[in-house]
Amino acid sequence: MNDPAAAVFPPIRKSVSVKAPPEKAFHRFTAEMASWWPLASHSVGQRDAETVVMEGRAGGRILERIRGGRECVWGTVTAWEPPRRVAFTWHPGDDPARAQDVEVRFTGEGAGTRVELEHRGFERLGALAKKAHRGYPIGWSYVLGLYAGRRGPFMALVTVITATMMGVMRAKARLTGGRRSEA
Amino acid sequence: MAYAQAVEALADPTRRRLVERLRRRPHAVGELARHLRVSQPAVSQHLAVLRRAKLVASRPDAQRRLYRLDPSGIAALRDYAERMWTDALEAYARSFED
Repeated sequence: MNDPAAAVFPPIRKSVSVKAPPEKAFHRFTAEMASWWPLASHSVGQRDAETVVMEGRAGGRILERIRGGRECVWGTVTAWEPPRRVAFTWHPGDDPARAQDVEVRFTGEGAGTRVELEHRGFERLGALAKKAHRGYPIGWSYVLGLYAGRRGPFMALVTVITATMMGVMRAKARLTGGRRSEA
Repeated sequence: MAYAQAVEALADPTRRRLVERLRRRPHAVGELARHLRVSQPAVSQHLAVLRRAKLVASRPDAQRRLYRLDPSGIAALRDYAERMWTDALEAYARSFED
């Protein structure tokens, strides 16, 4: 990575060992994401979140289904290499322009699998923060929704970034000037 | 809970106006008080909240302090993501236990 800002927001790296061969570990992580993802605490819909689906192919989406038929795209699969590696963009509840990247590797380890996850690209948010750019009304609906108590911490992160970037009053003026279509 | 702090900090309309002001350029407390028509002690208090939330930073400048926006608010997102993956991977590993 050439961006010096990357050093300020280094990638998150996590790993875990699971008691299953890579094929099963990969399948559980991707096709069976709904069976383990902590949806109640980590979702856009929170209590109204119904399920999360990862479409198993490059270009497939990671999709949260919310009660009432709403859907929210968390990211898009960029690498689909079962059972060794899956990578996807990551922008739950946020504009894809601010997506980060997540990569997960599955390595056989005795009878089990070592699963290594890397979440990187936070510096992209930093670069955006330096510009007074336009065209992101989406964050503000979340801000206002959050203040009204309809959103949880999953959305709070959007608030923080967007507030830093744009300033609240400007966006508030935009919202009162006419609500746009939002995710 | 850096992100929660930032959210709480921005829930206040005066603090949102401060952020908007500081987005343009760094300001001293006196200037902010004048622009926002709020007392200096009140502005100082609001700035302290924003600083704790890592949304605003300050540096001394002659006899006064200059306040500016602090991009490390983004660090809150990273902190949140870090916790999220910890939770998620724990849940994932648990799903293999019988």
